[in-house]
Amino acid sequence: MVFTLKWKVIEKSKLPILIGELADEYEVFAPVKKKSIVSFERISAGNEAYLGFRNTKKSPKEIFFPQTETLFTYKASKKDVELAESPTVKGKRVVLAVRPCDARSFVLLDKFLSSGEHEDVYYLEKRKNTAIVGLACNHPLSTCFCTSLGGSPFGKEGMDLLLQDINDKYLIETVTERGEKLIEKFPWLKDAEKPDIEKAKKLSEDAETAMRSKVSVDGVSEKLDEMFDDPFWDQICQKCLNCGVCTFLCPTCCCFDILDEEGKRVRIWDSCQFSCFTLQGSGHNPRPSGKERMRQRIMHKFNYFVKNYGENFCVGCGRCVQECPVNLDIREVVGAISTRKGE
Amino acid sequence: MENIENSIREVAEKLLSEKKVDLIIGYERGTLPLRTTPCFVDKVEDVQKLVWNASCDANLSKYVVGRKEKVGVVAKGCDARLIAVCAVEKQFPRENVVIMGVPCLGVIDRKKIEAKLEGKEVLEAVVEDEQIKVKGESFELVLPKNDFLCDSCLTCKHRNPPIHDVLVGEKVPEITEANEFAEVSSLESKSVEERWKHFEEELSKCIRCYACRNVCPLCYCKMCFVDQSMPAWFGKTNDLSDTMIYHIVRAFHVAGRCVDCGACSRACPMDINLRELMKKTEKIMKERYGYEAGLSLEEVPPLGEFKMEDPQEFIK
Amino acid sequence: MKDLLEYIGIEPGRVNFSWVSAAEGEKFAKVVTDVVKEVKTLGPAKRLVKR
Repeated sequence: MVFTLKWKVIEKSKLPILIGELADEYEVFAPVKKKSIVSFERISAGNEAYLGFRNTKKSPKEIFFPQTETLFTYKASKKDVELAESPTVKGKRVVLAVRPCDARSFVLLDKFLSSGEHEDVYYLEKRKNTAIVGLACNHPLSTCFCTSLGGSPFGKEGMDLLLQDINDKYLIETVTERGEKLIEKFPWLKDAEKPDIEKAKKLSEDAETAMRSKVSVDGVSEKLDEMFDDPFWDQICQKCLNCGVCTFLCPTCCCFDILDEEGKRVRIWDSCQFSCFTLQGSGHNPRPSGKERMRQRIMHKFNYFVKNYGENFCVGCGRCVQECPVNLDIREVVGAISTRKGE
Repeated sequence: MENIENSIREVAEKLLSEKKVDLIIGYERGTLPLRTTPCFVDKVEDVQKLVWNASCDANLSKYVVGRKEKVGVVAKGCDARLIAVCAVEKQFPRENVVIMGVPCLGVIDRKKIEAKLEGKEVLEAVVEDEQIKVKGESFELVLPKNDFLCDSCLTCKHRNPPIHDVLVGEKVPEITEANEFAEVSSLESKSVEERWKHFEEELSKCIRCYACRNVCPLCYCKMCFVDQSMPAWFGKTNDLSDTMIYHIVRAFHVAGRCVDCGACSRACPMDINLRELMKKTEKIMKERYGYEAGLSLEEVPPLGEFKMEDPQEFIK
Repeated sequence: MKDLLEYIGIEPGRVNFSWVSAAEGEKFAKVVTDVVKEVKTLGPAKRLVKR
């Protein structure tokens, strides 16, 4: 990369102005607070963005992988079927205030969705057109465990710019060339001074130390190799309700179902926990019960993906831990696997 | 509370060692403050895991349906009523279930505490008598427990499990003064257009994760109407009209069976007030048929039969 | 059913019930005419229509 690492600062009070200017030229997505829920939405004014959150309820994956997406439309007549492509996203977009775990999830999703014979053009097209502005974590939640999975509260993977809250200001760090080009649109931004950068460094060290949750994933993938038929799964799955909360809120889950609805072929989020997930046309289902489905989730995240892409398919955001209706804690499951005696 | 916890463990131990049941379904400590998690005990030495406190919010009757083995279930008033409903609906042999009824003073609504703390995280919590003591990174607060109980608990008319095999603990006084249908009545007093707007707004938050369905003990269909495809009753996308149909139909499916345990609202990750909708079905049942679900193992539910004296004023 | 739909905001008048036996041809015609009239007054159903 041929740019020099730049640090700028912006007073917190001026951030809405920057966001407003961005929104004039780009489609801007940012966390928005509606009653008790903070989730990413398209905004048009700077003051709509809400940055006082720990993490958003839903992950930002839906910006690139919407819950419902029309793939193409069709019109059937007696002789023929006419297909028409769905309009793709053409405009330039910016997503603001993405936490490092979520930004990292984009990198993992990129790997997954660009591999194989057919790339996921719908997802990748959006990724190409979108700049990511991250927001570092000064205060990880007790359920965060990104550091156990190769991430960090001040990680920059997947970002073009990184914002760091240094009390009355945000430090803006340029991560990529795209980030640099973006920041050049705001020549009024002041350069960061040494105390700003030192403060950010101290906060990042504190945040890493403050990470309470540590999950050992060492050797988990290898142990899982031997565990497919293990009675472990009978124990683990007992309380699981097989709803879809963990998969829907997970930043890296991207399974989908395809349906035809009234002239449109749409894809919608699917979940390995749903009963129809691998239901075949014959009526047979190789994953007939909750046990096989819970096993699938753990294996996919901590074994299959590791074998195929060299990394765990989890970023340690902790949303599944927080929101599971029965407090089935994935950290406990992985911990139990990692402490099993090897064969 | 401690007495009840010990009693639960004693009863569980007795049931297991006398082989009256093969499995005890109860609660154990969760991995987060103010949480418990369902616990499945089949060995006598494991009964020490069982706990009882104001965070025992999961509806354990969910785990009874479809079981072939004999189970003992720790059941609050609402849970015991749902076990009765499912028993009447023949979802398991009644004699296979030992209902360990626990008189309940209400469970804590974590969402209310989260709202009060405005984003601050609870790292430690202790519930003592009428107080919840919460501690976080930079705060320590004492909250009056009654202000943070689930709404369904504040108007509960059956804190003592009406049907049980064993009563674990002293009976508690029932609430007589609260109007359980206050929220529903308030919505009823609005215009049709206002109600539509309200439900549209509330249900537009829905992400179709089906936590509400999966947490509900009454939703035990092997093939849910959502998944039917030949014919498909409605779409599976998160188009608002499809989402509203899902909730309306589910409300209709649980009508006459729902006891307002509140599990659906508690489970919803998007904080949708589902009780507002489900509670209306309860009100209709009470007003039209004088019926409350889960209080009898003999009575046939009104929606399961037709009597000549059933009100028919709406039929022209 | 009628109560629940009205509660959620479907205009009353869209959901109608009537006892009509197969032998009551005249009554059937009347009921249908009345319901059609009522629904026409309410106009096209905009609620629960797919976007």
